[in-house]
Amino acid sequence: MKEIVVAVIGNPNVGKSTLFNELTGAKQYIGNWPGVTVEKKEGEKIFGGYKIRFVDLPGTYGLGASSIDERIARDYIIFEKPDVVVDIVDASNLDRNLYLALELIETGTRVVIALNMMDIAESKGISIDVDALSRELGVPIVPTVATKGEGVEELCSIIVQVAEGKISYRPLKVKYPDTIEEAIMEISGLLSRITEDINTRWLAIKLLMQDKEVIRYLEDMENGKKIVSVARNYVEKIRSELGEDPLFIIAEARYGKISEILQRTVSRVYVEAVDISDLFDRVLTHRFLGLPIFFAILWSVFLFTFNVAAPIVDGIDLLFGWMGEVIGSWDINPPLKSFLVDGVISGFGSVLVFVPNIFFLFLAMSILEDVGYMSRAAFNLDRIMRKFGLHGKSIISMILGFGCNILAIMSARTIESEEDRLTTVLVNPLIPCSARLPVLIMIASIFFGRYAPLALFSMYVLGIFLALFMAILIKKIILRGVVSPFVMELPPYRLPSTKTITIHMWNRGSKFLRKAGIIIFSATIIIWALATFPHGAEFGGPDSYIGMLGRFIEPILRPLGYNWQIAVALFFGFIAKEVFIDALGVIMGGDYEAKLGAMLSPAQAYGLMVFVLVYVPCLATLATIKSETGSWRWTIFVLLYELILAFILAFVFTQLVGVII
Amino acid sequence: MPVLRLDELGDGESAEIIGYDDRTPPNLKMRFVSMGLTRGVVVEMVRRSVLGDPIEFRVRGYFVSLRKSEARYIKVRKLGGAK
Repeated sequence: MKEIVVAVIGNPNVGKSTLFNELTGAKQYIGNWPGVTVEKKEGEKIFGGYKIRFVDLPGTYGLGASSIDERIARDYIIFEKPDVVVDIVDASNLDRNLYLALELIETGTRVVIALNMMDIAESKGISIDVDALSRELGVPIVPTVATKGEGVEELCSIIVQVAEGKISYRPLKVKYPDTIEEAIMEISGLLSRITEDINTRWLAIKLLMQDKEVIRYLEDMENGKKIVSVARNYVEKIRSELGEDPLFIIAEARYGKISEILQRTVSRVYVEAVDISDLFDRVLTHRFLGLPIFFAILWSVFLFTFNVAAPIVDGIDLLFGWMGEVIGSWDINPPLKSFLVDGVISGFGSVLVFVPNIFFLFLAMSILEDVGYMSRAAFNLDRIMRKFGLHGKSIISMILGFGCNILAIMSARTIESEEDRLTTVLVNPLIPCSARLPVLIMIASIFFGRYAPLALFSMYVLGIFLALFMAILIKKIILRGVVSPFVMELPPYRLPSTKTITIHMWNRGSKFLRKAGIIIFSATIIIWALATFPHGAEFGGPDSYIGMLGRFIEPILRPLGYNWQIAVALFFGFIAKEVFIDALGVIMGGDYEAKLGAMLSPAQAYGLMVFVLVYVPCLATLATIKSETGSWRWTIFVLLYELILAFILAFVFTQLVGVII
Repeated sequence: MPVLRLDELGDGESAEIIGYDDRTPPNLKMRFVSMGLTRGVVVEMVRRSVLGDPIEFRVRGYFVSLRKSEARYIKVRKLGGAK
């Protein structure tokens, strides 16, 4: 079957993921863009005898490439040359959205516009003459309502027609002032001698806009340097003749063209008296109410994650307990039975029990994101975050960190300045992720009974506090630098469809399941094997291999009051934090909770919670830090500072709590 | 009509962008341009965040937030009839 590759692009918050989900269904392949860990989402649809492969590009306002996200989107379109580019445009905000469309058209790629959110545009009293708009821009336009799945079939059929060359393109050419057109002609003439596969008019315009990336790209080419300097001369010439930077003149010409087109194709039937989003924001971003509401929202997410999931967690727990008893009564060969009962059920099972908590946490976060609250959080907290050397958007990364540090670290890529982004990344592992949650819950519920939620909550407070504290240190001592801009859209609040939220949650939650499946299961087998051998040693006893390893590590942790079983569990927790429970379950058996309860004093247990909170990022997080910072030094830095901090804090807290109790 | 900086607008006041300060960093210029903050466009100051910073504006039919330190680079001409 013939394949059509379609890139899906658009401004942030135009319903891109919703439309993408509608186009491809839940069958999505999530990977990474080469070289960076920015998530790359792909999906397929069989349509009209073709396999249409959709590639989801990061949301962007233009092809200026000022953040990693934008660069990825641009490079894909320019260098990978997809067969068709679908630009998703918010019909209720054409003015700004069409800027990207014009830039895309200028690159010479085959653009199809999906005019999304038609329903919202209509409700706002905006009436669009789609055919006229399509004629003006010279590209096909399909009206869609992604939340209801409207227009998806039509969009696919247009994509196929475009790929088959059945639709002729007369793409709009924005006419710039003569001085600039002259420069474009000259430069693109020179460019056509050295490059064949990139649209030279677009490249020339980018040179005149002094795009750093484009300049660097050309300087690496033979004869490219000369063209760059020719362009530089033109920039000076334009500046002196027109009294302005070509950057503005070009941008203004584009916006001018857009308003000209909109005047002919769009009419406002009526203008709304109040903007509903604005109404919400009067409260949610209020100067005094904004912050208390933010904390209230976080607290409810926390309650939601625990209380709502609690009955399901109990159910799974009972199920595993019952399975353990059933298999325990079977008459099968003892090593196999031990593997099933001690390894799979009490080890692996003890981790799976927490899957509902994790899914509920991801659900709550998907809702916050899809509704549009995250940017409000950034708006509310930017000033405060800056005091700690962070950026307003760092708060988004920190909140996501409660779910998964990997995800959170990747989300920092929307922060433009390298220093701010790095700081955000480096402190993120201190935010307790959902994998640490089960460990913390387990210890808290064994030792603190009625006060367990309080003990748990104190870990979250401590984690946030430490992250802020480290951020100040890093910013003050190591990464003193430029402040990055905070030019951020506050998108309209939306009621996302259940489908969008479910897929969003599933994409993330299933990652955890896969991790549980592969990493944790293999860890279980290894731990079980180490606990079983050598022959003759008591299972999980001090003379088994795992016991030897534990006794080897124990002296380091002795000041904190941990015995060798805890030491070895912490050791394996480095693979993934949940494995800590897994390891205890294997070594001590199904009643590990009671046994652990006898091993530590409450003060030491609290210290252990602090230790687990801080001690090391999991392997996958470390790998992400490595790829996001591109540096081993930063990666090792995180590992070391966390270890040292964990020792000191666990010790201090053990003493402190000991005095209090 | 007096020329002001964008961060000097009061709640609900509108102004037309007339240009950028010469000292505007290039990456910020790029950003402004792609977000539609170009000359001739009318900007309305909507609200300030906690501690008065950042500031939310309405421009081209959507909402955008800028820090005071960034809004300062944008020169505007205040329009009458606000509030």
